Amino acid sequence: MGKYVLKRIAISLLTLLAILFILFLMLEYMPGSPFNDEKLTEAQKILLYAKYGLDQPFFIKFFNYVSKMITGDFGVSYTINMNFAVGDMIASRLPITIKLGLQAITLGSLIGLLLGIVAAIKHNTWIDTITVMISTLGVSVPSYVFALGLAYFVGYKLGWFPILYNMSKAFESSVLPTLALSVFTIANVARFTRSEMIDVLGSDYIRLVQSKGVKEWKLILRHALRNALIPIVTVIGPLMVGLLTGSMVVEKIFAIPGIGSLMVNAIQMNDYNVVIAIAFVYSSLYIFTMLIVDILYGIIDPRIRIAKGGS
Amino acid sequence: MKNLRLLVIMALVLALFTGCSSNAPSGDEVDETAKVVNIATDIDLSSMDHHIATDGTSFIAINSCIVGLTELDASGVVQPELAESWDVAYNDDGSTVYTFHLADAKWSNGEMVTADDFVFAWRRLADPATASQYNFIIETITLKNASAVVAGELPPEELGVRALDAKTLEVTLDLPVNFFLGLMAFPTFFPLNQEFFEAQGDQYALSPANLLYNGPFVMEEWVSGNSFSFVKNPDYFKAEDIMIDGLNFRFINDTQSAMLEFESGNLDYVRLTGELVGAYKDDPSFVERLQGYLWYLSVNVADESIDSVNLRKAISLVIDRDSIAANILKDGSIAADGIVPKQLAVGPDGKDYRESAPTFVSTDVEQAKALWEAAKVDLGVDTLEIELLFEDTEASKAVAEFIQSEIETNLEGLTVALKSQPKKSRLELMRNGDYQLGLTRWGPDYADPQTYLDLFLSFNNNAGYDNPVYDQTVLEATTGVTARDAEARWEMLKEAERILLENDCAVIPIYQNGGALMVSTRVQGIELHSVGIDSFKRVTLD
Repeated sequence: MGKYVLKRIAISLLTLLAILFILFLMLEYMPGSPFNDEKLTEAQKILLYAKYGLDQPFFIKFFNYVSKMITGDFGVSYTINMNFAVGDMIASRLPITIKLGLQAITLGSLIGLLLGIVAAIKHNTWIDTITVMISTLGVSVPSYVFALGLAYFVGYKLGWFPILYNMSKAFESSVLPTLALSVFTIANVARFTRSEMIDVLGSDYIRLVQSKGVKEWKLILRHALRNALIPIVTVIGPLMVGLLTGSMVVEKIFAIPGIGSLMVNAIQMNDYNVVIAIAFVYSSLYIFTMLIVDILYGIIDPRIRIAKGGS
Repeated sequence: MKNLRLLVIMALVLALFTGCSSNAPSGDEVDETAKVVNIATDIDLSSMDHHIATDGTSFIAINSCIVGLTELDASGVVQPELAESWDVAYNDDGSTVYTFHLADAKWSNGEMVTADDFVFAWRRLADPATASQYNFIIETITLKNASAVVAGELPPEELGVRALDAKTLEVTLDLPVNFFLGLMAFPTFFPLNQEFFEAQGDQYALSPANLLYNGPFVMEEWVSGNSFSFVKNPDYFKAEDIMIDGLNFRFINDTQSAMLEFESGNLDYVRLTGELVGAYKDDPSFVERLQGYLWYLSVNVADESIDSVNLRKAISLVIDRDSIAANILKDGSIAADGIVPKQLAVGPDGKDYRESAPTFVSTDVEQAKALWEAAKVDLGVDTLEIELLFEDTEASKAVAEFIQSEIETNLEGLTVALKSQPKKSRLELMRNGDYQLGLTRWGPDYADPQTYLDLFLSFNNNAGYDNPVYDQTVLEATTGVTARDAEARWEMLKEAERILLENDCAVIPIYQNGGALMVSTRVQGIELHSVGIDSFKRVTLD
């Protein structure tokens, strides 16, 4: 198991370095620059490039960046919050986005699992039909539609929860965005749980357990759900990362100072250091989540870690 | 055993996530009795360093808490601020010396605001090491030696600004610049206390504690990406004029959400985007304004395949600009009459420039068709495809598509290929001369036609426009002998605009930007300026 984990971690780190290089290369060839306001003269541009080291050759810039990054220095913002340390900007925003993502994934998985299990048990009844309808809607309607609907009806008309994110009422004001974000997870998890459970419930070993007279709830939770979980864990990992990136629009609507809205701003304003740092953070999160999923696989299903080299 | 391991990993993951989420700043507590104005901003606060800031939001924020020599009143007229009074002396060589007498004002650390604070601030502004994106403005006022200092040829100490004593500031300009006093109300020219600045190191202006204030408000809190707020400054030397307790700015990127918050009574000021104007036009809170931004089609005359004055005139004549303003933008924008916008500058006759200057832009489809026939001969073609570059905003896209349809329906054989780019990329392409037609804009730096006419000097434009007569006319009016005679200068500026638009049709003015706002009816006294910085200083609340 230890060797398996170590190997996974090494591959992850190499992947990150490669991603960083590609990001740098892409920004190098992206049209525009952080300093090309219509008011700027050529001489000023040269001054600014020199001040921030943007006039250096590509490989020197890359080397400088990576060697600073290792010490935790992600450079400064050129346009969004001029001369702010990018590391600080991300450090204050990332927890908000992650917290929302975790709330949404927890709520979404729980409701999704419940819906999926109920639908599978009551297969081919009206409950099943409603669940399938909810799943289809949730997958196909984009989250900003739910976000706008929630903001208008629950936030404005009913006035139950704040519409805009409020630092001093962090929980209350996170309710609407969490709901908006969780819809996609609910739908996906419900769909997968339902089909996996139907498969498992129809299998021979379940019939065996049934014939041994095990109680129904025990049969479902202990025997059926456990085996249905493996494919579901596979979906939840990418869903979590999907939530972080997909929260961009929801963050915009609820004015949440998270990392998604910062990313959109940074790309629009050519704020190089912010773009690279956030893209790097996203990649790290993705790779980290995949790593966790891989390890969880190994735990849930021993065949995987044995097949992938040693225990 | 396996379950235990799973639990441990889950616990670790949770700890990792929650461990970094406990540092959310507090704030946003609402004191029901405080007279506070809540303002939505759709752009985050970029910088509180007045030499580094370049955008409207930053300038409004700086202008709320730091003041300069003069200020603009509600109607845009220059009034004394830190300078109680001033003397002007005109020298025979054309140079002009302003001597300012400062009022007794204090910084928020108790220090007096002195003439040295201005000298230090302007030296820092001009110093190439600061790399200020707005340092051109010190050259615009023709401050003595400014160009040489900005270029690094002279040390900042050689600038034409000095402190005669703690309360007297002397400024030497190469020319009698008549918009000079108005520019002294612009944040780039505000003072800076050297001792405080140097004590902050590279942290200057990055948080409310790293700034000094001498204005109506002091900054209380600044949460990047979320909000920034100000409270009344009891030590402001005109504190009795300030009728409210504070200003809260909330960064909201989505105007629909901002409007829900406005309707809930939590916001007093929201800038509307074009698509929402229709919904709120009849609301008592709806306010329309004219802005200084003038949008125009830049024609790349360096591109020989389209270099025909008849072609440019034909294109200009088919565009129904009133229709663009009334049916497409619907936000208070107006059709352009020339390259100099309305409400920009008042002449020596006391009238708005556009009132006495002719209208150089019109619509005449029949004449356009004849000119297009002539253009075909000029260029030796029967049909022509021309590329129109614009930025990827809703408004620019709609205007570009309208111009395309006007040209293609009226001028047979002329087709327009649309090219959409993000703003920064559009600017880059235009800067490199890599375009044919470009839909672009210019916002005024100061209240004078020169801020627009300078753009098209042969050494300033990237469109290849090079007319020695135009250059000579503009330079004579702005830096020659004529610059000393306000009336002759004014007429010469009009002549320059005539050469640019009527003779050469080098650019095609389209429209002047309007803006639509929602301002809560409990708020009075917000000062909207088409040139200069909108001000919330003299706001009163019911």
